Amino acid sequence: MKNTQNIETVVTNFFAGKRASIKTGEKLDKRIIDAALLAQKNLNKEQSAVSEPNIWRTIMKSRMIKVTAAALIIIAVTVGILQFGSGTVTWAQVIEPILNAQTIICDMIIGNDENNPSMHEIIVGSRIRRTMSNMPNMTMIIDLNSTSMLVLDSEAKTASYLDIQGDLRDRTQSYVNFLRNIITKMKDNPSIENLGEQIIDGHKAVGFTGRGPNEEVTVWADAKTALPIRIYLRVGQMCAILKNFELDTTVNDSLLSMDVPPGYTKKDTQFDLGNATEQDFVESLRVWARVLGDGTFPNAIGTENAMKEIPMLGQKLGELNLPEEQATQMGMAFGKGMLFHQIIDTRGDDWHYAGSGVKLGDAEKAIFWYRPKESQTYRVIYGDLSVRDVALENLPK
Amino acid sequence: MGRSVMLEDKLLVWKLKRGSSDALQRIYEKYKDDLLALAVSLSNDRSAAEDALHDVFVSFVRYANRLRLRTSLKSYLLSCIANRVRDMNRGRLSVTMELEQAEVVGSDCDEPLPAAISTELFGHIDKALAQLPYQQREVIILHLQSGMKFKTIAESQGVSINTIQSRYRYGLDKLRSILDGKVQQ
Repeated sequence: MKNTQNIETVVTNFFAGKRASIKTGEKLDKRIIDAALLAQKNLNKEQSAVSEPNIWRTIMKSRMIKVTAAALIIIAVTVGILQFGSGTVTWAQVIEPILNAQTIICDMIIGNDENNPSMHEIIVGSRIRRTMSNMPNMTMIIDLNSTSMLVLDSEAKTASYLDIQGDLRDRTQSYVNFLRNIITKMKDNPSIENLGEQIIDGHKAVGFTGRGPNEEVTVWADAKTALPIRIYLRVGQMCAILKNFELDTTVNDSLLSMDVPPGYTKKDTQFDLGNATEQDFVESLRVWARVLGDGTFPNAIGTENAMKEIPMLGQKLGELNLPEEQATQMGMAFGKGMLFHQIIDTRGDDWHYAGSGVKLGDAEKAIFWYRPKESQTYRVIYGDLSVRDVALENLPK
Repeated sequence: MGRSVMLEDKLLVWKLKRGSSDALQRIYEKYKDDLLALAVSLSNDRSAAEDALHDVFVSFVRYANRLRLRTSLKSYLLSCIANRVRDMNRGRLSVTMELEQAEVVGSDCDEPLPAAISTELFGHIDKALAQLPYQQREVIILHLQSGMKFKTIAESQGVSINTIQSRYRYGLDKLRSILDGKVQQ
């Protein structure tokens, strides 16, 4: 064995011979495939149970309605309507209908899981009508021009006006506009990926993926008409699925009216939809650990997880028998903290969550860190919820 | 790895995340032999290797929704196998097999080996590999058998690329030294 190349060649040949001689057998294949299919089946069941709408209905009828509504509305109001970073990639034909449609109706799911709660959206100009599958009695009508929102409760027959204030007002725009912007910017970029043809929702579809610095958009469109069938969005670490599109259908004006509907009573509601701050985020982590985790931080955070946890939040706060006002404040804190997380995620800040299994109060363990844009150092949140500035080289490994 | 393979894998993972059993079976069929071969080489134990393949694949399906691939699907699965075998090895008294116990793994297979490799040299290499410290043997197997890049190995093990390259170099030096002695005898 004279040199490194020789020994590498000999050992590589040895491995090639060995590799060719090792194969799985029929019995092993069956054992593994059966176990994997069972795991997949159980997983699908668990996911269905998590998003079971009956759980939501039960909670929404309970005294904790305000808590869950507070948290969910705060999170939901900005989902998909934050101003995202600019995209740099493109494709062309299949996105023309999206660019040109006067009205768009579709469903939006947060996360990759089709079983997650969905938001039914009707978008006409600067108005969005949003209904959530897990809060069917609540309808939100958002006016992007005045950045205000009308929340209708069809059970209580109440109507509340909310203003989107502060920093959030400047950042608010339609996610359809976002989609249009990103698609427009993607034009003429050669790095667009053609995904070929697939059967999607029973239609022969063509797919394209485009990527920006902090986002990825995949469009599956009808192979004949080029109308969108599904759109997969990833912005930061948040994913969303858009489906069930109807473009340019006639929409009754009353569905998007910001007036109180006949039979509804106007109600004053104090919802803080102003600037979401790091302190809000810290408070949401406190609620997550103390109320939801019995003193332990969760396995994962983010919009998708927060939306799934809200029924449990309502239940747990109910068990604590807190005064309704206090419980509602906690619900709002949870929602607003997650709003801050949405903001740092969608603007592309580098962030990392490491709190899984960490006990609330553990001052030694860092549970979350992020680097605000333009900052040289990271903001690190520890298990005791203290926050410090830390240089990159001193971040937890 | 070719662009079309990466793209196909991406689609398979995409479908798997949406509960597709076809995608699950396709991924398994596509990589099962590579994964098993790696597990056998790392563990020197066919039975343990089959358990590792089982555990890795079932976990992969169970946590597919959380999967965020930073590398190719194949590299990801190979890294999972390496991690699983390492965990299994921790439960054993000794990772390195005694020379007299070392066997030509996979020799129970009926398929002939390439003629270019003599049975004698085959046996020498197998036994020489078994004498290497586990970390060195692991990186040689991951790189030369499974074709993983040093960078990917380093990332999957949470160590620097220099560390991985050093382990590789020391391992090859030792292997050469052992084989030189054997071949000259």
